[in-house]
Amino acid sequence: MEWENTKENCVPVRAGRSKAALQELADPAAEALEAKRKELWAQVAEYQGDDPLEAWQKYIKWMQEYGVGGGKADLQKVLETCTKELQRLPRYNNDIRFLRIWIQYADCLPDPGDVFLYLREKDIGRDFALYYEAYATFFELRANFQSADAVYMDGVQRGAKPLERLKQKHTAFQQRMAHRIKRRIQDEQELGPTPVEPVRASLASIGGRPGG
Amino acid sequence: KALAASLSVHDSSRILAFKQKAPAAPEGYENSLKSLYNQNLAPTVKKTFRHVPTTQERILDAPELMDDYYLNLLDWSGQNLIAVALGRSVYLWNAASGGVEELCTVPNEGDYISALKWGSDGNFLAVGTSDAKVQIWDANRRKQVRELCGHTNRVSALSWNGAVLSSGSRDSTIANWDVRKRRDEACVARLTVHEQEVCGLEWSLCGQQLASGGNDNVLAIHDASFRLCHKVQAHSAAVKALAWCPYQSNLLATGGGTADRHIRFWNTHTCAMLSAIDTGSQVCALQWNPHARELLSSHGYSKNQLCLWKYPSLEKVAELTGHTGRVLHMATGPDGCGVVTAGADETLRFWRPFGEPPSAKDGDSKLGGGAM
Amino acid sequence: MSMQCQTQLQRSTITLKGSAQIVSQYFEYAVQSILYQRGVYPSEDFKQKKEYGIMLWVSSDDSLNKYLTTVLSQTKAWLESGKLRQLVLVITDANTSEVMERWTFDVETNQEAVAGGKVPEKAESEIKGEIAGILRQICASVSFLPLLDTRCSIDILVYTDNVDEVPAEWEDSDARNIKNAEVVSLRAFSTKVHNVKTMVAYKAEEVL
Repeated sequence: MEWENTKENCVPVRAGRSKAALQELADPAAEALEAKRKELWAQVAEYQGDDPLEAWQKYIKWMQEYGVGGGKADLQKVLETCTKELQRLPRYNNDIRFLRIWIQYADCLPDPGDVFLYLREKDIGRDFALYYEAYATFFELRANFQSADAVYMDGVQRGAKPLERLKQKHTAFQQRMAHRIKRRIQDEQELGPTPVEPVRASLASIGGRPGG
Repeated sequence: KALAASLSVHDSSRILAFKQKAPAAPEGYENSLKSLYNQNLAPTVKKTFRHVPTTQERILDAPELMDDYYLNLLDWSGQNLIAVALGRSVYLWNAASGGVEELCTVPNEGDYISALKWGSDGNFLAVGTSDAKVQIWDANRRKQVRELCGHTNRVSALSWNGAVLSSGSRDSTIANWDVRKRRDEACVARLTVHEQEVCGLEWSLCGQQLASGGNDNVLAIHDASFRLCHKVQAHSAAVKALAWCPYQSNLLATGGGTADRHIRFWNTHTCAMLSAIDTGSQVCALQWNPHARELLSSHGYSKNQLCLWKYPSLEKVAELTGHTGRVLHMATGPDGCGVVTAGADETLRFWRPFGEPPSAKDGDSKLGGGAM
Repeated sequence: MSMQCQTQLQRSTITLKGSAQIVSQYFEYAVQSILYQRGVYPSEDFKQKKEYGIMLWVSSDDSLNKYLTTVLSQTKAWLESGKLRQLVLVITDANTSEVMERWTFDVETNQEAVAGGKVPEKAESEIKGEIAGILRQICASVSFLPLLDTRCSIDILVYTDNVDEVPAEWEDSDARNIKNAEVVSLRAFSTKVHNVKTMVAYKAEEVL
């Protein structure tokens, strides 16, 4: 069946979805999907080697691409379990793959402020631009521009990788700030008489004139 | 040259580009689609309107509820029974007593219930199945009274207009059945305006017009004699959510899927679009407040929330969160205050977003009749 | 739209010139739809316009539209002479020039038509219906394409055959392919003179 027929059942995935996943989702065989999910989960659960993150990563990527209709365990819970499990392994603190999973987890939460604080406290992902970019975005959307700027500066100062991208993101942020300020000034100019109005209104009310 | 030939590239081919390039996106621009991927990105509401209880009153588990945008698996009857389809079975939940009963189950492994809808008196429940059947069940006697065959793919949407039942299917057609007629004469009209699955179907409250929406992004309006009045493609995604305004007979609200994210308002006589709002996420279902000028919408990725909008100003009154999966279905109770939602997180949740109805002194029955 | 009757299929032969007009118009709306749906430019800069019976989003940015008009009018000339093989919309990272996404419109020209011979008839309404179907798929591509999480720019590449004299404003370019790309084909449409296939190639790896 054509993928377009089930377009509304494919959650947008930040990293995109492979053609294979797209075709599978167009005509999902629930049992086959569940079997695949179990297989990948078994790889996580029974992992014996020295890089358990790899198995987790595979499982999470699969969940994102094939999540709908395949298996019930929801992504947020999986991300939560993974971060909880692996944070006891200090060697992942400086692993971009681990940080990515943390950020994906933060993306699932309505208010991930604590996650960023926790990561900072534990020094997880300290050297990566991704941490600062995500944290600053979080602040910017809450109109906490000062904190956003501080986070970018902190990241640049630490030389977070890739530094070029982080600097570009910071510049872009500053440009948005400049636009915001410009727009506010413009708004104030367009509504020129506004500072005068309240004064007149209050005088009028003192004088007992019915307010307009 | 030999290499070019072996790669079957004509030596006369060239790749050309215009020297002067297109402008890049403005400095500082961030892709606004980002909010489709992050739960915490969209701005929240400032509460400046009336108080709306934003937490659910009650949660029921709904295991096996299918996470499929195109189906319609929840309805609340005038007799206070909530019908919900979980996988192969339909359950009736008595909202007054809390009792639950299984009404029916499709026999074959792999099949499932794909749509359901109460008749206006709450005695009969229409049920659509993945094996293309439409069944009518007597809810009091718990017995199937009719089976209507004619579709060739799953039945995803149902709507009643008196004794006429309309059914929309993945076979892209809408069949209209007069349930008083004999089995072989029951199908009184077949509408073929859609090219893909019909997932939204709603008769207007006075029964004058039938609105249908499909995965082909088409919204169609038919009259009571099944003539096509309007066909529009203003949404750029599937149209599933349809809601007729309870106090203005020709006002219809429609919601679009992931690529569209808009709620649009129509005058269905002229098919003029009256207004539209970008909600920022997939619109799954719409319900008008039966006693105030407000519309409730339920959403998918990324926030899985309900939004209450003022009409016609389209200001957001409240945002109701709780579901951890997309909110696929909604139904309003017979009192016009309670709303039940079904989410991909396999729960049913009960909310009271519409406030209490105004005192019945002016007896505005028209405003009270939007329960079905 | 008021009461819509079944449009009568008025079949007629489409000339090479007429076909080039249809195809280049398709390019225009396809490119505009992609730019809107992919969030390449701010959505505030787009307005809705009805074409092919559907509402489409088109840019109101003058310099972008000037670029598109210029490029597409030359493209149309190459279509008319049967020299156009492919049009490619390249979406790049504005800072690094890295190619993020590559939309390909493959054109097959009926050589009979170029030679002035007769081509089979086809109703224009049928062609428009096919085009509307592809534009609908472009909207639906959000179900598999990655988020373009960076400021982007675009370029249009034109694959030609037997073009002897390149206009002064044009230059040769490399193909700007994406390494290890995922490729998804959308539907095709045909005017009987031109057969146009649309596909998109994208990176399926994480950026950071």
